[in-house]
Amino acid sequence: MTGHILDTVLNIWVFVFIGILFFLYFKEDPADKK
Amino acid sequence: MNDRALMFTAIALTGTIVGWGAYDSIGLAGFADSVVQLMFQSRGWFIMLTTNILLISCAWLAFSRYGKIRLGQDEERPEFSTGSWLTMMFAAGMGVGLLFYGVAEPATHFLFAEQELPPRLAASASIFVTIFHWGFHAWAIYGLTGLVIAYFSYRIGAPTMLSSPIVVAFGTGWLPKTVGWGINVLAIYAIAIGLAGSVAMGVFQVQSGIADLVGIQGGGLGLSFGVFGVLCVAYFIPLLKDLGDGMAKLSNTAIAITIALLCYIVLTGPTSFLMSSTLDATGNYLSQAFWQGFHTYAFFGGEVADWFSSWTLNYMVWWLAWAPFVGVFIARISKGRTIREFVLGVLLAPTGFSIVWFSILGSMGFYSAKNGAFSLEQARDSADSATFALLESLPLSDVASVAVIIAASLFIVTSVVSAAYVLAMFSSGGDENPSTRVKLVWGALLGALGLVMIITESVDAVRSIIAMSANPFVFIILLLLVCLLKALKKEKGAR
Repeated sequence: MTGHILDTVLNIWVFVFIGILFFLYFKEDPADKK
Repeated sequence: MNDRALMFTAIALTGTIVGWGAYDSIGLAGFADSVVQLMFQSRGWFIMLTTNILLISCAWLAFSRYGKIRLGQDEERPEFSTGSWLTMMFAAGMGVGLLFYGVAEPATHFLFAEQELPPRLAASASIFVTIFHWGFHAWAIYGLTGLVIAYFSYRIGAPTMLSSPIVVAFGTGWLPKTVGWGINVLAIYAIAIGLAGSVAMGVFQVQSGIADLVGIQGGGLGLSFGVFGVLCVAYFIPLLKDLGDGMAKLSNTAIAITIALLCYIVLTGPTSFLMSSTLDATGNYLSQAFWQGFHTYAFFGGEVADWFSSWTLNYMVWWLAWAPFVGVFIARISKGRTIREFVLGVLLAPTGFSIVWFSILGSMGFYSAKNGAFSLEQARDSADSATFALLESLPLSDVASVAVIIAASLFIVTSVVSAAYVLAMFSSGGDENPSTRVKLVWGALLGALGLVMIITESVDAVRSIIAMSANPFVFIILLLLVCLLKALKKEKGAR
């Protein structure tokens, strides 16, 4: 059970990280808006 | 946070591993092993996904509209001829590992695959998987890191640090700066551990070669320390005194010996069989390599899952550990080339050599084993002496063994000198002429780390310690890729 929880937690961090990468790539640069 | 804080944090982090290893090397190896097991079990898929993304991105960048962008100003042209560019790149990226694993790796995979497959299929599968570990995927990791460093350093003009892409792409706010600083520390730490691990493996191999030649059984730690001591003296001299292009000459000599060794094996061994197996392996690799990158052996348990972790995943993480160091080096020698030239050179030439090298050494091992002149089990159990054991089945084996010892020593010395330089540069805020004192501190730390790894007396322990240290790079390299893509989009958009 503990193993499963740890496994899930470690993978959730990967999903969050992938989400952050997409956000960073598509985020508009403040300089571009000007 | 200034450069001094960066240097001290990185030295403290690396020094902690040295202290821990010196105090309790078995404890350190055990800890590294359990961290790596957990990481591989839960995130193996992500490591493979990352290497695929890097390979696809490299290929896409080469053939996209960004391919014509020059890694430097538009009027700049390459500093080195294409021949020496490719040779230097290969020497930096593979080095002593080629000599160490050339025979042992195909033999180990063969003995494993033979449990499930007929020997003929097991032989070609073992050569294929060895080349897979040393081929496009490995070089995509190096290539992308080198491309990011080259683009931001020579095109944008930012300092040669891994934090530069983050700061250029996301601004100089506290968050990008802090993340960049953390990445610099981790890069320095990963380079130091990765390099020291490969020094230890090189020492194991040189020690085993000398023991074989002189006729001592094993030689043990005493001989390892002796070899290590001599190599330390050899690499401290270039750190104290700038030898100019002397280091490039030493590295080219090591590659020349490696190529000569390959020719010697082809000419004194069963030439037509070796050429046939090389062609066979080339076809196998080119037709399956891309899809092999997606294999995670999810429906296999036990031994196959263990094999996948301890070989494929371990290799990919190993390349990640080396990526900042090799990346800086190949970025420097590639200044003035276009992105297309860079990617094609980095991916195609070294992979081509890996195909030939592992096909010939692996097939020679199978051939000699079939004739009873070589033991695959022995090659698997003591990888450091496998190359020497194979050479014994050929004429003039003593001369060839001496050549391997010289090449391995040269690879170690040139790697440590270049790594000490890159570490000193990173820890001095990207200064391309770091002080001799800082280079010596890193040289000494690399030596101490190498010694700690030698004390573990186990190649597996060394590999675990490297994999543990390189773990964050699976994430960092993707972040760097996003920075590069954003910067390229901006550059094209501005035109």
